Amino acid sequence: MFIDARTLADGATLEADVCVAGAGAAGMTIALDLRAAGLSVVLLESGGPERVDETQVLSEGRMIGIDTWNIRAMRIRALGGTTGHWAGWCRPLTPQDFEARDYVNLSGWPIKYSDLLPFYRRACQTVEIGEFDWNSAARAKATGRPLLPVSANIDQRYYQFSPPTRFSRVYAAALEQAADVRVLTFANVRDIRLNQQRGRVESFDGRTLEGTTFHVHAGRYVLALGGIENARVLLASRSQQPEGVANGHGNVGRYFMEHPHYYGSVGVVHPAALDLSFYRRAPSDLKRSDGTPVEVLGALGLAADVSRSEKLLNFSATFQGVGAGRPPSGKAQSDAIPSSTAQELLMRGGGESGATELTVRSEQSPFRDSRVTLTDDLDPLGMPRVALDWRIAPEDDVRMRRAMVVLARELGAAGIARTWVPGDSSRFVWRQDPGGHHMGATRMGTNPSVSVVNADSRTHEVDNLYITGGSVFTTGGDSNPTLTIVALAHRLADTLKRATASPKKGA
Amino acid sequence: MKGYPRREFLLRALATCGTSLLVPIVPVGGARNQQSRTDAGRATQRAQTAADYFGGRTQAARAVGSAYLRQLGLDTSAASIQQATRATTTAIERASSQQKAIDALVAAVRRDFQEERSVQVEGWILSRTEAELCVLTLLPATN
Repeated sequence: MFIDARTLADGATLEADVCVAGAGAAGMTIALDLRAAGLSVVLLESGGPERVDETQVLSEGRMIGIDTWNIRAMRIRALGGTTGHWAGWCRPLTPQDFEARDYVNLSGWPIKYSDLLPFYRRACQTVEIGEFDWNSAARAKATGRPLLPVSANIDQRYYQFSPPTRFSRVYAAALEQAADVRVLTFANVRDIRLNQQRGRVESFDGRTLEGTTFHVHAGRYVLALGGIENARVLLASRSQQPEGVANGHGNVGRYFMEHPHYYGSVGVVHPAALDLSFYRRAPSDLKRSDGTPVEVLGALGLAADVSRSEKLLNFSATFQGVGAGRPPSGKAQSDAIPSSTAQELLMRGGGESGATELTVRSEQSPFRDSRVTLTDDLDPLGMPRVALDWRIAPEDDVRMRRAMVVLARELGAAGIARTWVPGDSSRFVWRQDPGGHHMGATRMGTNPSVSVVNADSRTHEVDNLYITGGSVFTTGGDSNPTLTIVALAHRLADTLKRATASPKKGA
Repeated sequence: MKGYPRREFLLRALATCGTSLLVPIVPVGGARNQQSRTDAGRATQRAQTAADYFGGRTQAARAVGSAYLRQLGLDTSAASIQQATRATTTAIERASSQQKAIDALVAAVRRDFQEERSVQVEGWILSRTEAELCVLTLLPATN
């Protein structure tokens, strides 16, 4: 059922087996899974059914590091959360993303890809894509759109596209009909109250913008507020501990990661006859549960063993403007040697050539100085506003350029392209645009000195407090995070079910 | 008065001095001329092979070749071109025919990419052989 928190009596107390803060993709997924298991849930949502300015204002903050996107507009405070403007790109992390790499700072999840696999399968249904099938060769064969004739050093992959699923539209009715799920709208977590020993949460104390206060008591608590807000609420809950909650090691807010997106920054010239149809977004043989075809889009990356031997970060490159026949834009080619010159060089006097650009979506390595912090500015609830100091480790930039050179060599070795890669000269523009993917600020790990939650997504320091969403990513890979966020939410729901059934304290 | 040409005069004069040390001078001077003619011929052959490799269209190759030389800190003199293209000229000269040379160069370009012998010229990732061929197309204009 839905309850407008503004209609509650001031100081109202609610009780449930589990209290989940945040009704976005993760929070709604958990609530629906727990409902199916017969657990009672209070789901708190800062906004209402639709995005409105009055609540969006609570997301205002400052970007003091790499400053590229609007911190308020990027996140949505409404039912369904940021799925309200999600573009629907889906691809899982790779097995290698979960592994430790000695050249990537603090890499290595405490869970394996295989641990998440069953939940990825469930997530595919939740976000309304096809089955969990990422076999490019099979897809190429089924669609009649060939893969590029490159060596096995290149990993040819694809994205599946969700409709995209607007969680408020698709799942709100199920929540409304669930008697044991109470969805409180316009309800903000103002403070996390701990017991005397500081080892367990006693309540989530909330407040509406109109001033109505309430308290939720539950056996277990989940923060599913988004990659920035999870950290903010932990840091701002300092009524009992000046450093905030679950922050004894000072890790909350640190290691914030994005996916640097290098839009059209790499130029490619190729024979006009080269078939790039696999790399154009188009319907495939994969089907949603309602039988409609799923669109896929091919991309290029490096094979895992190549990335490892070259000590590179992961990336996926998509062709931009395939089929449009337009030359790379000015930023994706040299001034001195335009793409037309490179085309002539490649074609050696025979045949027509084409040109396009690559958009590269990259991993960044966990970097302690990249962080979410609080400012002295207060929002209308009296909570400190956030400052986001997004940074990229200097070696990441070098690695990405190197990765592009390796990719360019592979395309050259296949005889199908010549590639322009920004050099390190200042006249080359290597734009680090973001994807709006907020990861790592409450990262998962086994070592409390460099992580906030354990493999079960439970905080190291507070027994019954769990966190989920992009903020628990140990490393971010290069895949768009929503599919993994939903998979982790399904996994956490199963953990909570087991924990709630068990008499043992905690999970 | 009909005089001896200056060079012949000097040779005669020195010969009367009975020095045998100067004997080799004549053949050496001739060899130099011959060598020069041979070098010019080789340069022409290299330039022609490079031009043929690019299908006879050398405008783009010349632009890339100039940029590559600049990047190496070299000018477009014959000596600089020779210095910048040693590996490729060897490959050209080893081939028994023009077509075999081009086939070998095509293979060398691919091998360069596979074996990490690429160069970055104004941002473009090229095979080293390819870049050297571009330089060789500059030869006719400089000799």
